[in-house]
Amino acid sequence: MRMLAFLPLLLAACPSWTPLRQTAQCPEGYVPIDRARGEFDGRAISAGGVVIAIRTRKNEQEASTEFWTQVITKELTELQGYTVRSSKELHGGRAILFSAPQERMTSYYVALFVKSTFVITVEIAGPQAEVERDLPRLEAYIGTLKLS
Amino acid sequence: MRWSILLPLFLEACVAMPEEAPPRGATDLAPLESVAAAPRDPESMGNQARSSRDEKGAASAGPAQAPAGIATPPEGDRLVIYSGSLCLQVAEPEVAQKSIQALTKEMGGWIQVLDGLRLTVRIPARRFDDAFESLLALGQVIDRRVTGSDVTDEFHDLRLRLENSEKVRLRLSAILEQAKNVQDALAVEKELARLTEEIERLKGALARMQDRISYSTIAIELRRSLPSRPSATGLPFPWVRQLGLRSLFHFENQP
Repeated sequence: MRMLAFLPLLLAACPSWTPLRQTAQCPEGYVPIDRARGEFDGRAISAGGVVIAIRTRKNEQEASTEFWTQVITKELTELQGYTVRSSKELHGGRAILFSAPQERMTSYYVALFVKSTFVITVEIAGPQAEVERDLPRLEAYIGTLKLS
Repeated sequence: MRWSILLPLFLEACVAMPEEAPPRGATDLAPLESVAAAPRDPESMGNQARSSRDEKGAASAGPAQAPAGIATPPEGDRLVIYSGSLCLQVAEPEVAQKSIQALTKEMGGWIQVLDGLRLTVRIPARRFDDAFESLLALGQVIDRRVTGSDVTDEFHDLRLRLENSEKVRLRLSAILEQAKNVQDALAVEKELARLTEEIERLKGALARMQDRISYSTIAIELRRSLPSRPSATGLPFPWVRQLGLRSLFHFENQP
């Protein structure tokens, strides 16, 4: 049996992989949205309307961080109309900040952490001013998850 | 008449320290009609403290004897020069350019620079916020900056130096009338000429500063947004397509 089969168990066993399910696991000022695991590993929201979410995907191609960065950037900019505002290294991964199409005051941020067999994304989105204000502490929070 | 008679006046004219000036409003200066170099919005004169970006139009009502054209803000108000810059991504820059021109006119401002996709507009300070917000709505904001420069002390210093110089000039004129010989008259006239030049320079500096206070400057850079490509060029990674706002903001209890 491949390691992938154990992935859900591994994820469940490690507290840092199931954040955003209880208020105590959320960044300060955020509360969980999804109590049960669904599309997201965890998702939380602030009173200001900023959402932070974590998802885990299979990296069947065993592609690199650079590869997925390019794919995500292409998808969001060329196909969905987002605009890249900044891109940087973050805690061993890659973080990209976008402006949303049509919604000029909305920011979308995705941090990407690539393992050989899976990819973890941390997405943050909300009103631009709120995202800009919260981003430093949310990035610090991401650091505490030790995703890389 | 000897040079020693003029010396105290020369020194006063040269130094013209603010401490020597009478209290604001107690001056007997001639009106300075030439101060206004740019179109003026009477409501914004002296209201540049914008301590709140509010509408304190009454701030321009300085002391009754203040020089005309030089607004005297109430004590405690600050004089701030606001300027902003923004970079917008728009589908049709030409359309956005026309919108900016119309907006500027509507706000009571004017276009200072129009250079391809770069524009600089001047907007009455009291409408800076409204104008900036309206400009942001014209496209996707790539970058935006707003700065405020407090020039209260500099403004008052210039104004007091001008008042002092005007006073000294009046006194020199009186001395000139009493000159008993050509040599004395020439000496006084020479100093009067220098002082007049200094007064004009100070008036110009004040006018420029007041213009910058009364009218905020906004620099705009327009960028043409690239057209979206058809989704046929998408890559075969379904999970990547789930990224974005739509799924992130989908809540199960939504209708």
